[in-house]
Amino acid sequence: MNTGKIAKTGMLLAISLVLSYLEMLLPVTIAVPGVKIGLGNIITMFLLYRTDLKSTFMFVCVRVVLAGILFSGISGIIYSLAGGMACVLVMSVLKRFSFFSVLGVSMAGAIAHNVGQIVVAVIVMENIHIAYYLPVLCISGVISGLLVGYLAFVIMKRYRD
Amino acid sequence: MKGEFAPHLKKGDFVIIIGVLVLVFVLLCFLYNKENGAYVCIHVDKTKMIYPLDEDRKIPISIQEKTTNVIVIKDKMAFMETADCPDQICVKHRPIQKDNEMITCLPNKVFVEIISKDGIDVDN
Repeated sequence: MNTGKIAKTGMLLAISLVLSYLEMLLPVTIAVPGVKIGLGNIITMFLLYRTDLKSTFMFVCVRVVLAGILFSGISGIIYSLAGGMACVLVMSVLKRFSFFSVLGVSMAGAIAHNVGQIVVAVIVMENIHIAYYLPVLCISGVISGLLVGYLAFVIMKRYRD
Repeated sequence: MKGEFAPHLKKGDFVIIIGVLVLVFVLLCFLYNKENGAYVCIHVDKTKMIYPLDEDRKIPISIQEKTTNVIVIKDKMAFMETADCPDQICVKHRPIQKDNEMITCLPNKVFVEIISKDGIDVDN
């Protein structure tokens, strides 16, 4: 990794941590724990489209751990990790198909993120009934995915590396 | 993708949106039987406690000798009266009474769920 890339990645990491902090300040928790706008995905998508998959995976891991230590709580890291991995995986697959636009990729990512978190929660808590939250989280995934996808698009358009 | 003012929704996006709506509809139909339940099942970490809904009751939950949540059964409904979690989603949740409805306090790993007679498989 050259110094330029290190510097840029560091900056993006700082930005995504600030976004996580912002999300914490504006709780959009409607009915269900875990509903959030997922602004961090804007950065994740930026990396997915502009760099390679491995860098994006590493970035998400580092970001999740740091955000967990700083904001949401270390015990929550395992859920965000699962969600983040699922999100990056799904988005990396979907973005190869022109069948989906940026919005679709971002929606699928948001949904995958929520599903990943629920699956881990069900396993860790040994309680299948957590899955009852899936419907609400899928809908919120679609809505937040659309919003985040639009923002990511705007940012990617304006910031030509 | 670049060079337009806004991204256009493509077929795949609609597939996702409609797919999610269908999935949610199906899940909601199957997962939520809208009948009044008979018992409350409280999961705390790995232990389960079952109480009948027809008896008013106050159930404090203690984790490591500190009372973290208080669950109340009243008028055949269950709700979280107090909790020491930062987000308080569980306290704000409206009282539950129908089968499969659930209140969760994720930080404290407390789950309160309405079940019917068939859902019981453990002696209590």
